[in-house]
Amino acid sequence: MLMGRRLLEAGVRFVKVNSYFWDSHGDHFNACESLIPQFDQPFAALIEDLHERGMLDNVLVIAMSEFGRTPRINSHVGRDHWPEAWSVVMGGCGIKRGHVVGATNKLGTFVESEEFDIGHLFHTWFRALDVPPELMEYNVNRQPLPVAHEGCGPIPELLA
Amino acid sequence: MYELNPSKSDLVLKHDRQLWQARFTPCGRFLIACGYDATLQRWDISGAEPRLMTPLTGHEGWVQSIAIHPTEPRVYSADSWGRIGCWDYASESGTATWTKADAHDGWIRSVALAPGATMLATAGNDKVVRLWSPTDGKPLGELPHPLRIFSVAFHPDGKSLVSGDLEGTIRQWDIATRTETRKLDAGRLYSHDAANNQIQHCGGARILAFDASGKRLACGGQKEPQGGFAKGTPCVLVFDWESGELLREMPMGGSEDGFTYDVGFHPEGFVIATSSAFPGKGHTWFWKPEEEKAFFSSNKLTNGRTLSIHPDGKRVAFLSSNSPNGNGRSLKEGGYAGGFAEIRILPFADPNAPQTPAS
Repeated sequence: MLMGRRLLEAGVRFVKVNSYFWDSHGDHFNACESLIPQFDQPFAALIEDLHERGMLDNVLVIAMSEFGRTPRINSHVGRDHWPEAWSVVMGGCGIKRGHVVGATNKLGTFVESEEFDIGHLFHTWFRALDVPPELMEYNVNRQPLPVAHEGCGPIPELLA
Repeated sequence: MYELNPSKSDLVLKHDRQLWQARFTPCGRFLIACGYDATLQRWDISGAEPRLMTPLTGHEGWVQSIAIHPTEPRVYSADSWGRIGCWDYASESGTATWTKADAHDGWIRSVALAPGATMLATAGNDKVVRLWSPTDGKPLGELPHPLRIFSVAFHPDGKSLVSGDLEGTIRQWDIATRTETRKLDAGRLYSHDAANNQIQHCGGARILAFDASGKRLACGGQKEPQGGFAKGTPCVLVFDWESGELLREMPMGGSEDGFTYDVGFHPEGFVIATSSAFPGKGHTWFWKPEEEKAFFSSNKLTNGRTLSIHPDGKRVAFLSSNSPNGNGRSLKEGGYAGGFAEIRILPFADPNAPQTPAS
């Protein structure tokens, strides 16, 4: 993440930082004890660094995975994949700060509020970055595609 | 030679949540189990049919470890929220003798009673072994560690205890002086492959047990542990207590069979152990430390969490916990099924007797 910050400071416009081995199908809680502090501290430091440098208003920071983990514990004290409800953290450029949007039921199994998927998130991110969501950037087998899904819109509660 | 053969005639106790440990009481009348639902379940097994009694309540989180008083009807337990407590397991009401919130900062992984119930020890994620009075829960001392602690056990002489940590370091502590006196190396139950971006610290000394004489110490865990699916070979390491040398490495099953969750010594000196991982994984086995191979192993007794010998020596309680595994929607008729546990009480079978079909 430190390298990511330096790249941003050098003018790089898109930085992706990967972290692997979070697929905790077994021994989930010990995995979390080991893994989460390794994300939590540098992620907080990244936000603080960007804030201190006056960059946070111009950088959109997103922390996400491709799905959540099962609310119930499997036989191997692990959590499997759960695409029904999970969370994304975002902040910085164009994003309202200190807000929680969306809710699950008390078991954490399903969304009880309005459902949003990745299409809504792309609309939200591009709106926050002032990129027109209808921009035709992709061409798949001669079919032009917009950068954000045509059937979705931004999540207004998230936008500053 | 001892062996276990599950059969339809076994007594089977069921619970609709996963359980971590099931132990007989020293009097042999009760079976007590702890697990994910913040209760201690108990059965009176003295009659023709087992009788489920009122659960012992007062915990908030998972109860992963219990210890039972050798002569009085008291069970000690600890939970994932940091509470420890003592309950009268023989009374119908099952009232708490005492409980103590915030005994640890977070998850308590292990609880052990000193010989004669002179002291209670607990160990957890806050990197401290804490010592307590079993009578009233009064603090008697603490033993700080550099890492998370999974396991604690008292030596039968009552003069020392051992603790096992994330990296497989087993520490011997002098109880009188509260000082660390020795380290034993169970590091082969730990891995951290930073060179290959394996950022998770895996494995650890998950459970410790002395034999009755105090000459041998067993440590259970997983050989060559990995993150993610937590694959690895369940393994028990047996140490010679006097020298501290590793006497025997006892791997059991394949490299996807998970962790050894319970290990102990039969009064005749052989190791009994059980392991679990995904449904159908794990073994139950008996192994003499003097021998190179186990003399009994079963892949019918899978997903084992504990294996407890009845005080009469003629029965064991095998606890297995299971839960639907799988990605995505594990929905059944609109519901999301949870875990469950089964405690099978079965005899030490006579190998010369006619075999009965497994259930």
